[in-house]
Amino acid sequence: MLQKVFHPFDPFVLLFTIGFTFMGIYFLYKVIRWIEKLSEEDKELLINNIFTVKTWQALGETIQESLLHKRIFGVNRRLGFMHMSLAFGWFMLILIGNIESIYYSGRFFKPIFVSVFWRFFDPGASFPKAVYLPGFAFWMDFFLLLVISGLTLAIIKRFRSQWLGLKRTTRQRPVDRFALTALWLIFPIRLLAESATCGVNGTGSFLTGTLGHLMASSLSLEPFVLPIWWSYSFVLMVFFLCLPFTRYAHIPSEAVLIFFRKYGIRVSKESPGFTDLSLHACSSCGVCIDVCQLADSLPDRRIQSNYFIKALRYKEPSNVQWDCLQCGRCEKICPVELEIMPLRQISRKDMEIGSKATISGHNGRNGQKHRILYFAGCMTHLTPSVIRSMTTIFEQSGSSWYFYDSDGKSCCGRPLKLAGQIEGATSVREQLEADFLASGAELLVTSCPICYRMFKEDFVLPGITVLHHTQYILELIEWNRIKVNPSMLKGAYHEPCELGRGSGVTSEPRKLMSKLYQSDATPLIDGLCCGGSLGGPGLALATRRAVARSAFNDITLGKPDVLVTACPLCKKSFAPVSDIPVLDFSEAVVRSLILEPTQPESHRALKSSREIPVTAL
Amino acid sequence: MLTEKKHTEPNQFRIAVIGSGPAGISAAISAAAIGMEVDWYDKESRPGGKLNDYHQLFPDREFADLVLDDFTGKADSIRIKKHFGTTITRIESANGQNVLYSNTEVVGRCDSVIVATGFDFFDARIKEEFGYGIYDHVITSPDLEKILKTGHDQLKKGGIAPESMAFVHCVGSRDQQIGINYCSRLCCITGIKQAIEIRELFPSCKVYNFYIDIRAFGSGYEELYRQAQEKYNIHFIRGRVSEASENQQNRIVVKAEDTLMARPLKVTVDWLVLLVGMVPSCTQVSVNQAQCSDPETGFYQLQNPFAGSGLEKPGIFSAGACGGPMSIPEAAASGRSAAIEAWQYLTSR
Amino acid sequence: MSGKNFGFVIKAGRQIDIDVTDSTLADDIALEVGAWRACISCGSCVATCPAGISFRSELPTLNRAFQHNVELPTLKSCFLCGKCQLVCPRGIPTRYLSILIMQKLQSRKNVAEGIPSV
Ligand SMILES: Cc1cc2nc3c(=O)[nH]c(=O)nc-3n(C[C@H](O)[C@H](O)[C@H](O)COP(=O)(O)OP(=O)(O)OC[C@H]3O[C@@H](n4cnc5c(N)ncnc54)[C@H](O)[C@@H]3O)c2cc1C
Ligand code: SF4
Ligand code: SF4
Ligand code: SF4
Ligand code: SF4
Ligand code: SF4
Repeated sequence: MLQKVFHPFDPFVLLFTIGFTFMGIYFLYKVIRWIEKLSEEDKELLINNIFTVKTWQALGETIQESLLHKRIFGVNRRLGFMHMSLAFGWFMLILIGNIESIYYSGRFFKPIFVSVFWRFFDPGASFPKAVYLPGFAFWMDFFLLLVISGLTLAIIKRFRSQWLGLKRTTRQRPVDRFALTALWLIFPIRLLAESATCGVNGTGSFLTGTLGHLMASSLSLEPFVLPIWWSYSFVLMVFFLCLPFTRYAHIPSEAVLIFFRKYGIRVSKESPGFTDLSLHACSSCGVCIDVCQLADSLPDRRIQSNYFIKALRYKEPSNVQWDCLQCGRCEKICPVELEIMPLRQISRKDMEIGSKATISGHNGRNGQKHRILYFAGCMTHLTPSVIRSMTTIFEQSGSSWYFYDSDGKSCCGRPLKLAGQIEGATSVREQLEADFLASGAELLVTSCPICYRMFKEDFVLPGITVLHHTQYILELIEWNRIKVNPSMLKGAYHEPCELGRGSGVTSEPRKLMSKLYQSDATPLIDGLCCGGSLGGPGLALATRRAVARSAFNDITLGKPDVLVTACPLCKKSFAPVSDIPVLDFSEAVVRSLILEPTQPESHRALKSSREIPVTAL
Repeated sequence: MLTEKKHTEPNQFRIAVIGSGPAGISAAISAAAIGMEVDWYDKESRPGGKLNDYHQLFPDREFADLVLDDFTGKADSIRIKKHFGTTITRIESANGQNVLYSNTEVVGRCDSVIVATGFDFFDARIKEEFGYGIYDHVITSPDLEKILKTGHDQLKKGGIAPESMAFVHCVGSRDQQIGINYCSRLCCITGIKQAIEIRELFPSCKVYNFYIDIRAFGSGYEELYRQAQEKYNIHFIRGRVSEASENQQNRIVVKAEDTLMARPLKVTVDWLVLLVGMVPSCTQVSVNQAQCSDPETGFYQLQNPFAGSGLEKPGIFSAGACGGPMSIPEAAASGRSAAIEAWQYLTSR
Repeated sequence: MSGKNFGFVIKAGRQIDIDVTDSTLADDIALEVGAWRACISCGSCVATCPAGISFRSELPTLNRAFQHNVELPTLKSCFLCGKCQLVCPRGIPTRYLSILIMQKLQSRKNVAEGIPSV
C-alpha cells in the first residue's frame, strides 16, 4: 500500500523515518519551550532581531561552528578534525545524496528517506567506470571515507585519549554510551550496505565499488543486501530516538544557541529557557577538562564544566557548583562559547539566603570633593603594604584623592554575586553607586581586580572612569607624573583571573612590567588561578594550596627574582608557597620610584582634571 | 700483641657535631667527656646559636650571656676541634663512614654525626596583615630581645617611654593559612617573659597579650604566667589579632575580638611585638641527598622517637630544635643524649 | 501573662541544658563541612569582618543553644567577602558555611511553618 503512495519505497525505511520524525517533533517542542521560558526582554530581542541581517550572520556562524568546528580546530587540531569530519562529512553525505536523488528522480519534494537511502534505490553507474568519473558516486565515497576517518579518531579518543592531545576524556552516562554505539555503527553499516548494493549491481566508486567487488567475488551477496539495509535503518532509528536525551542533543541545540546569542540573548536568572538551551548545547567535547587546574588537585573530578553542565542538565543532585574556582579558564577555551561562569553563578541561586547585606558605615567625606576616589577593597586591608604604596604613589603624583574605604567596612558586592546571592549583590551595588555618584569624583581607582570587575561590569557610573591601579599607575608614568627607574632584577607577572581573563586588562600590566624590570620572565601561558579565588566557597584550604603551589611552579619556570601580581588575593595565596618575593605592582613601583618632593597645591591646579585621557580607556 | 677482642678506646672514634647552639654545645661537651675526638662546625664564626641574641631567659630570667659563657667554658677541651665559619650542606654516608661537604668541598670525615642545626625564626613578613616590614613599630620577639640586650632606650619615642605595647601570640604557628600547623611551644612563655620585662622597664606602659590559648607547659612557666597577671598587671586578652594598621601618629592600631566579651576590639599601641614561631632551619643538612624531614613540619624526622634521636641513616643523630621546637634545657639534654647514643652506636656496630 | 503578680519575675535559667538542646542542625552541617568542628574560637574572623558579624559564635550557638524557633541570625548581612576565611588559622571555609547555615535554618523554619520547599 505504502509503495503506491511513496515511490521509491521499501519497508526498511520506516525504522529511520520513525526515529527521525520523533527527533524532529521533539526538537520543535524543545525550541518552543525554550522561547516560552525566555524573559520578556529576551523575547523582545528575539522578535526585534529575527528579520535582520543577524539571522544571516548566525547562519554563517552555524555553518562555521556546527559543521566545520572552527573553534575546536583552534584549540586542538586533531580533535577539531575529528568533530569536523563527523559533522561536515555527514552533512555532505546528506547534501550530495539529496542532489543526486533530485538529479536522477527529477523530483524536488520527496520524503527524506529517499535521499538517505538513495544508493539502495539507484545503484548508479556501473563499476569500474564510476571510479574514474568524479560524479556523485565518487564524492559520496569521499565523504563516507572522511566520516569513517573521524570515527576512527573518535574510537581512539575513547580508549587512548592522549593520542588526541587530551589528558582525560569525558566520562559518559549509560544512555550516552548506547547512543554512541549506535553512532559508531551507523557508518560502517552504511559502508557495508552501499558496498553490498554496488557489489550486486557492479557499480560504486573507489570505496563502495572496490569493497562491493571484493564481497561479490567471495560470496553470493544477494540474500544479504536487504538485511544490511534494514540494520542500517535500525541503527539510524536508535540513534535518532536517543539523541534528544543524550549529549548529541547539542547538534541541533548549538545551532539554536548561535541564533539566540546573535540576537543578544545572554544567560540570566530571568531566562531559564536560555539557560536550558545552553546546557543542551554543550557538546561534551571535553577541552574544558584539561585546562581546569582542579583536575589535578581534587581527587573527585566532577567539578569541570563538562560534568557540571551534565549534572545541571540531567538534574543530578550534586554540590559541585560550590567547588569551582570560577577562574574562567574553561569558559575562555570552550568552543561553543558557553557562558559557563554565569551558569555557575545562577546554579548557586538555589542557595539564595535572602541576603540583607548593607554597608554599615564609612567615614564620610565631610562634603569635600576629590577628583579621585581610591577604593582599596576588603582584601587589600589584609595586604597593608599595597595600601601604603598606593598612598605614596598618590602623594607623589600630586593628585587630589580620597581613600574611600579606609575603615575597611565597604564591599563591592561581587563576592555575593559569585556566590549566587544576586539580591544582596544588587543592594550593595545600589548603595555604593549612589554614594560614588554623590561624591562628584571623576576617577575611581581600585587595587582589587574583583572590585574592578564589579565596578566595570555591573555598576552604572556616568561621569566616573573606573581604573584598576595598574592602569592608573601606567598613565601616571606615561604622563611623567611619576618617574621610575627599571630594576636590574628579573620579574615575572602573574595575571589575576579577574583582571586578565575576567576584565580584559592585559596590556597595561605587561607594559608596566617592561618599565619596572630590565628582564621579563612572564610565561606565555593563559593566566593560571592562584587558588585564592572567591569563586569556590566550598574548596578546602589544602586544595587551594595545591593549586597555588602548582601554579607558582608553572609561573616561575623562567626563574624570576620577583613575582609581580596585581591582586591582594593572589599575593596572599602565593606568599606562603613562594621562595621569592611576591609583590603587588604598587609595591614594585614604589621600589623603583624616583622620589621627588610632593608637588605643591598650585601645580596641582594646572594639572587638573582632564590631562589624563581617561576616556581613552 | 694479639688480643681476642679489640678493646675499644673512645679516642679512636671521630664524631662531627654540626651546630653550636645549646644543643650542639652540650653534644660536643658530652662527646669529648666520653673521650671521643670531636669536630665541631658552625656556619657562624662564634658558638652559641640563638643564645647570642637573647637578653634574659625564661623562666628564671638568667642572663643569656652568662649561660652562654658557662656553656662555652666547658667546651674548651683539647678533644674538640672547632671549625667555625663553615656551613655544612650535606653528608654522604656509606659503610659507616661519613663525609661532610660544604657545597662541593669535602670538609671532614667521621664515624658518626650529630646534627644540631637548630631552627629559624618565622619570617613575619609572610603574615603581611600584621605589618612587619611595613610599619616601623611592628617588631618580632627576637627583635625585642636584641633591643633589650643592646639598650631599651630604642623603645622610647623622643625620649618618652612607650604608653602601650601589645604582643601577638601564635604568629607563624598554628596557622593553616601558611601551612604551619604545629604549636611552637615557647612563644607563649617568651611573650609572658618579655611582657614582664617591659612592665619593669616602663612601669607606666600598658601591656596587652593577645592569645588563643596560653600554653605554659614547662616547669616554672605557669608560675611566671600567674606572676605576669597578678604582680605585673599585664592584660591578657583572649582573641587572636586579625590585622594591624598604622594611624596618622605612626601608632599601631590592632584589631582582634575579645572572645570572652564576644565583641570586636581595637587598641592603639606604640609597639606591636609579634611572637614568631620556630620553623625548620633553611640550612638543614641533607643525608645522601635526602632531606630526612617530616613531611608535615619540615623538622628532622626521627627514625624511632621512642628508641632515641637517630635519623633514618644509622650513625646520624639529631639534637635540639632541628627536630622540633624545644627550650634550651631540652635542647641541651637532647645534645647530651645524642652524644651517648652515638657512643653506643659506635661501640656496638 | 496570666496569673498573679507576685512582685518579682522568675527568669528563664541561663544554664544551657545539653540534655534538651537540639544539636542536629550543627551535626548536619559539620557532617558536610567537617572543618567547622575545628574552630578554636580565636575570634580573628570577628575582628576582621567588615559587616560586624560574629562567625565564631555560630558554632557554639547552633551546637548548644539551638531551639527550633531561633531567629535567623545576623548572618544575613554577610558580604561573603571571605576576609574571615583568609584570616582563619584553621582554614575553615567560613564563606560556604555562612551560606549553608542560613540555608539550613531557612529550610527548618519552612518545615516548621509548613512551607513546602522549592
Ligand atoms: C624568641 C625566642 C626566645 C627564646 N627564649 C628562650 C629562653 O629564654 N629560654 C629557653 O630555654 N629557650 C628559649 N628559646 C628556645 C631556644 O632558642 C632554643 O631552645 C634553642 O636555641 C635551641 O638550640 P639549638 O642548638 O637546637 O639551635 P640554635 O640555637 O638555633 O643553634 C643552631 C646552630 O647551628 C648552626 N647551623 C645551622 N645550620 C648549620 C649548617 N648547615 N652548618 C653549620 N652550622 C649550622 C647555626 O649557626 C646555629 O649556631 C627561645 C626561642 C625563641 C623563638
Ligand atoms: S563546556 Fe564547552 S568546552 Fe566543556 S565540554 Fe561543553 S562544549 Fe566542551
Ligand atoms: S572556572 Fe576554572 S576551576 Fe572552574 S571548572 Fe573552569 S577551569 Fe575549572
Ligand atoms: S606556644 Fe603559645 S604562642 Fe606559641 S604557638 Fe603555641 S599557643 Fe601559640
Ligand atoms: S564573609 Fe561575611 S562573615 Fe566573613 S568577613 Fe566577610 S562579611 Fe564578615
Ligand atoms: S577565625 Fe576560624 S578558628 Fe578563629 S574563630 Fe573564626 S572560624 Fe574559628
